Amino acid sequence: MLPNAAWLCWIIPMVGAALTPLFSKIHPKVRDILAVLFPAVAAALAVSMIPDVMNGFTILPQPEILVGESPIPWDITQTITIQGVSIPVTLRWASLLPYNAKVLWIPWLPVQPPIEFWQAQYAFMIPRGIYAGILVDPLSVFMACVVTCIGFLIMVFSLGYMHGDPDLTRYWFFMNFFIGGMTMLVMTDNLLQLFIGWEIVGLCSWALIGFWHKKEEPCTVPKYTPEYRTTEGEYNALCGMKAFIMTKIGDIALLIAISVIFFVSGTFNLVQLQQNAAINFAAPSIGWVTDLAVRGLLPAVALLLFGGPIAKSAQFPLHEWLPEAMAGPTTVSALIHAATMVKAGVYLVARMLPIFYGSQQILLEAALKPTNYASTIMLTSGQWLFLYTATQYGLSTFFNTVASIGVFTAFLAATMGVVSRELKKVLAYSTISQIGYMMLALGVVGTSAMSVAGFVAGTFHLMAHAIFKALLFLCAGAVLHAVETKDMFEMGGLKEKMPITYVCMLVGGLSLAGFPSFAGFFSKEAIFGATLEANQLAIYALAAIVVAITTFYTFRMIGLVFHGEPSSHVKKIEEEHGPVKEAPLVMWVPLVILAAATLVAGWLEPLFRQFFLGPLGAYLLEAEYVHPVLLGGLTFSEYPHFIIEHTLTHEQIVLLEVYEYMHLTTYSGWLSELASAWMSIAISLGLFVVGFVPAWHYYIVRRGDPSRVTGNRVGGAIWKFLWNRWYINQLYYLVFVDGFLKLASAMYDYLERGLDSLNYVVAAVTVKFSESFRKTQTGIAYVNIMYLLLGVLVFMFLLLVFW
Amino acid sequence: MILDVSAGYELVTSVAVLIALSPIVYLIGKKWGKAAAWLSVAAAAVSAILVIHVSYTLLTSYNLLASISFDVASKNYQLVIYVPFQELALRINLFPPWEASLDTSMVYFPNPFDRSVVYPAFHLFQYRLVLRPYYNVIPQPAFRIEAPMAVSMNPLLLLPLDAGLVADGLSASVAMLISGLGALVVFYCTTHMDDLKQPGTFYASLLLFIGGMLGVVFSTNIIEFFLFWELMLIPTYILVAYYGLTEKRGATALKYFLWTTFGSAFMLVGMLMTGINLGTFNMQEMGVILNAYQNFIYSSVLGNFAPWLASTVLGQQVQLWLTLAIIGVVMALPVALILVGFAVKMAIFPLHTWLPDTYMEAPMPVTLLLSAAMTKTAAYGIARIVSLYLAPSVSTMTIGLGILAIVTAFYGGIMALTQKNLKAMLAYSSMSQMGYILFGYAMTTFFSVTGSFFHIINHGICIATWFMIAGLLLKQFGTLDFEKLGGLAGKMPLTATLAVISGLSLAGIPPLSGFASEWMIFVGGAVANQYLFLGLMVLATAVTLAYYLWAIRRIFFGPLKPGLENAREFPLRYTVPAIILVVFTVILGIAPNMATQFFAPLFGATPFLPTIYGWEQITYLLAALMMM
Repeated sequence: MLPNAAWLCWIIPMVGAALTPLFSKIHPKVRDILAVLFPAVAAALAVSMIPDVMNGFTILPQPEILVGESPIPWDITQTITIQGVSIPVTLRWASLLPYNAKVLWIPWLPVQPPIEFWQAQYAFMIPRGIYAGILVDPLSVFMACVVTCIGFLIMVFSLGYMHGDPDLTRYWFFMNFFIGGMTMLVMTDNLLQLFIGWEIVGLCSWALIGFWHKKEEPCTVPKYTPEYRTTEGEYNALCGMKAFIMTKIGDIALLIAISVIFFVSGTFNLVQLQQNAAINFAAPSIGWVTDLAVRGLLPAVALLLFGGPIAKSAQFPLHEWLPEAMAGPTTVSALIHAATMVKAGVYLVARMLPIFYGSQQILLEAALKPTNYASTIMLTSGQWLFLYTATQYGLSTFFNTVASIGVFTAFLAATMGVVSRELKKVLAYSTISQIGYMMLALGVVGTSAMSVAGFVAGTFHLMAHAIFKALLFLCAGAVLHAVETKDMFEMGGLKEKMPITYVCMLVGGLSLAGFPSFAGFFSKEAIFGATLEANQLAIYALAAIVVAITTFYTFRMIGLVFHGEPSSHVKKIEEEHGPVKEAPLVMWVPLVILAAATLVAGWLEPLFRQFFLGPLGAYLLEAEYVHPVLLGGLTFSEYPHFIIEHTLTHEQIVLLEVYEYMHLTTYSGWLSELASAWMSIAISLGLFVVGFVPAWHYYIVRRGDPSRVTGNRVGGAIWKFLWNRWYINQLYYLVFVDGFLKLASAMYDYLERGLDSLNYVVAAVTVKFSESFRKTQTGIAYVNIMYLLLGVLVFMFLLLVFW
Repeated sequence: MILDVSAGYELVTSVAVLIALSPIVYLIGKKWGKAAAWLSVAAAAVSAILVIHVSYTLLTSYNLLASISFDVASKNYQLVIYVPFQELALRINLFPPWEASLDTSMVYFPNPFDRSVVYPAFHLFQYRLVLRPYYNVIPQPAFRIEAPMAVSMNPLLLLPLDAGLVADGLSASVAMLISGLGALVVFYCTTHMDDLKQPGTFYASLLLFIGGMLGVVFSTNIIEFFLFWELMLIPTYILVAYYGLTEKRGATALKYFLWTTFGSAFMLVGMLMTGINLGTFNMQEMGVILNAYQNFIYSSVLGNFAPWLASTVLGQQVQLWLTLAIIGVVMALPVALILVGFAVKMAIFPLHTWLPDTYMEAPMPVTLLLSAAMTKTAAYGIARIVSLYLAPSVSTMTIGLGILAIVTAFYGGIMALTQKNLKAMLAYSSMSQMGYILFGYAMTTFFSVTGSFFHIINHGICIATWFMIAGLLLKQFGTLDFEKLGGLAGKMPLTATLAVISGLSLAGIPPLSGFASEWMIFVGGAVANQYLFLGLMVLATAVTLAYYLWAIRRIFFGPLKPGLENAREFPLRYTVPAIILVVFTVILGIAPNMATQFFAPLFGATPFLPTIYGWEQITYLLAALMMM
């Protein structure tokens, strides 16, 4: 690892962003080159962390803040040998920085906050305030590598794509800030800093989607919104704002969840949260997840936590911002909406998953062997079982929601992609759909026994998708750059004109559709495997159907853009600017690199699994110990009953689980696993053909006329329904924009004006009163004297009576 | 120690220079308007520099203390809250200044936060050390002081009424905001208000206004607080009534004046009741006496009836809870009355109707100060008088105040959303933000109160930037209607950047300062167990974000509107105040500790009553019964 790589890999792009305006004062060339250099350095730093993580070297921040004894072995280095396979399971503490290097920890609150006395068991958790910090583990390093490497390639591509834009300083600033923020999000060790990165990402997406807010051309995008204006610039600004506000809705849920978790656990630190999830060994008392479950808050908090990913990763029902977000430059779409930002949600779910999953497993273990925990907390088996049941109830709600929302979103977005006219919108819908797959994988993990496999499947699909979607977006960028239109029906016949782009797009498309030997195939099969492992057949069925739809719209897109005759628009462009040419070198080199990566990445799956075998895998393996083979496909909720009847020793189960996992980290085991899953692969291939044939018929060789399908009544109705995106957008506008504004102006007209008029009512009453009272002040002497006498009399009377 | 004495004189000077120079500026302004303006700039700058210097004097000593305060490995973690100074907490030294500089007892108190420096302002020439009180979990025999109890038996005879100025973490941080903004605004006026009718009156009022606000925050006792509070009102009335923008200015100023006085009347009654109940008007002593009350109840209630319980840890906890609850009930009425006064000033729904009119009417620099500084004195007052000393009483009102706060935040936000004019939007926006601040206080937990207090500063900085930019736009284009503005980002990128950063900060987007305070407020909601309130409050940030983004989009993005072709970036002299403020927004967002280190320790030592719904009610009932 390069020195301080974990800190510098996110600080350097941020510093680069801050310096960009200065560089622009020197020379635009200097600015452009340096702007690309910063993510390059960050990528080098991030990649340099890989070997350390592969060696089981985990850096956890601030070792001194972890107090108390945990039975989870944080400090083990041991080799287990099963059937000739030796498995190193290593986990150890190490500090990246010298012990006293506190300069990099930014104190947020200077003092130990007072903890009310019945929360005193949490007081130990809060060190001297709240600090910024980093966490280096496989997940964070993996994410950092994806973000910085793909970010770097996209930045290189931008050199060509954005060449000559007058606002490049702003562009580089937000791109670098974005990469820095996203890398911070994944590298941080606490939820608060994660949230900061989360919002930085949202902020940059707002600025970058609305990047071309000055465009004066009339808007070409179909009218979806009442706010629709006449110029492209205004539309772009609107889309940026829409993205920011919709993701903010999710951020609100996330912030609520973080606040409640902080209250219950007393910490933002992810390591502490993981250590104290089920049982708080240092206090000692029940851990925060259990505590939430006992308070009855666990389902609510877990779902609120998932609210952040729903919005950021564009899942139903907050997916509507992403298609509109294609208003930004294509490089921005590639960076933010395919490769990195929308993955933040997946990352968060993946990050919280071991914590949640592990906590219920520990409680289960405690229920089975309460004596193991007697030194910490004296509870009977029944009491532990109660805690387990409460926790498991809350968490199964969470996991089932994640899986269902994931698969439904995958389906929903795929259907929308079928009718889209805009090239980038097709890719946007496919992004939403593919992220649905990832969520689905992570969701079924929670209800499955084989948690590590599903976890790795989700993250592996994340990587594969990041690569091929960046490729597809950049190809789309090259095409848009050449033909200057968004509409696919105005393209066509570009195959011969842009051969490199065509081949790259084909590679990306095949990977997206899950054609064998491409990256997407392996990751998708891993997801299907995990789904079947969890016995979620309904989810599997829907997810499989999506394969056919995905294939259809992918090849519809490729066919419309590259095959057939050139459209009139292309001819017009050729007349005006000369023939359509291949993209320049600086643009196609990143394309080729990404295409090569797409071809290779799938074959690295066993290595990828090895990467995750380190500390995280060890933790997961430690936490779960129930083997699916032995249980014969029982669903998760049946475990306790089963275990009580057939008690296995802990060691036996761990060894079996480790063996099962290790099996997949070797190529022979992996291939045999693939071979044994032939049925699932056959179904996927069959569905691929189902999707490919109509696309080939209508759009590639163009033998059929698609308008005949959409022309009849049923087809037309379906087309209209999908074209209007299931009317979800319209509904949101009706209720939350128009309805809300109407309500607001009604409140202003009636309530606010009414309240204000009360002032004048009081004033008028006062004036009225004084005016009528004024009449007694006649100014006539004898009347005044009469009043005076009357007053004296009344006064004397009162004196006499009450004296 | 000598340093601290000089710091005391600096403190007095910082207020006096403003109030004393005010009539001089008025006289000079009759003949030389420019000279009056620049003299005001100088006075405000001197005041700001002095305040900042005093504040940082406090800070440097504080850091020495923090490093030795707390041991992680201690098993007695529930007892380590500020233990090192508990035995000194009640010692009050009373001696003249020449002794103070020699007295060795100073050595015992290396923390100036604990040692509020009280200096003579009127006729009492004495140097006095008043310690910030601690409520202690452990009963200490030395704490059973009869004197405060005796005082409270004869309140009318023994009420001490001395005036002075106090700088501690709380007042220093708000004073830095006020004087800093004051200096920037006076400077801003020199470029912005170049066609004034009577510059002398304007600048004199401005100085008096800033001086009054500084006096409010530096007050040592609540009567003095009230006097400065009213002093602050007079110049604002003049500024609105004479320099208002439309013909309605007289009526609007009267409305503002009447509303504020209406609130002040409640506040005065509440303050007098507080003073008579506690036997002192001095805010520091109020805390000491509450402590004594607590110990009295401690020893007499549980000590007499259940001595076996009093010696256990559980008993101590019960006692703490019980005593705080009793104090809460006793002080509930005065606290409610004081809160009405503050609520009017903070424009809490439904007492806000003075705000839109006044803000729309006042010239931009005055609106800026009204919004960014004056309303903050009320927020400061809640922190100082209520949260710090009377926190138990606020705990009894958590639900009511929480509802008011949420309604205010949403109502202000929704109203801001409907406005067609930038200034009106900003007016309602600042009302909405007051809802956040009140929410933090209502929750009465360490995090929320610290966050609220921090939000005072952040909101002051950010809304000031917006008002400055609005003023510049108004000056250049003659209008602030959204309909007529648009597409200015290309023409004035710097201004657009400043506006965007401040707006996003107010909407709670990290890494800007608004987020740094808002998350603390929200966490406080969770700690207070008010999950529904927490959710609603966080939801209000979406409304905030919506109207700021919308405003930014309508003003700066999109194509250029007709009539704005000649728009150009403002000269740097105009935008420098806004740039300074934006730099602070960013810095405080990245390192909020820079601000929280002033006041977080004070709130850290405040015994906020833990709120658990249900228990609370029962205990209050019990406490009320006992009081009968």
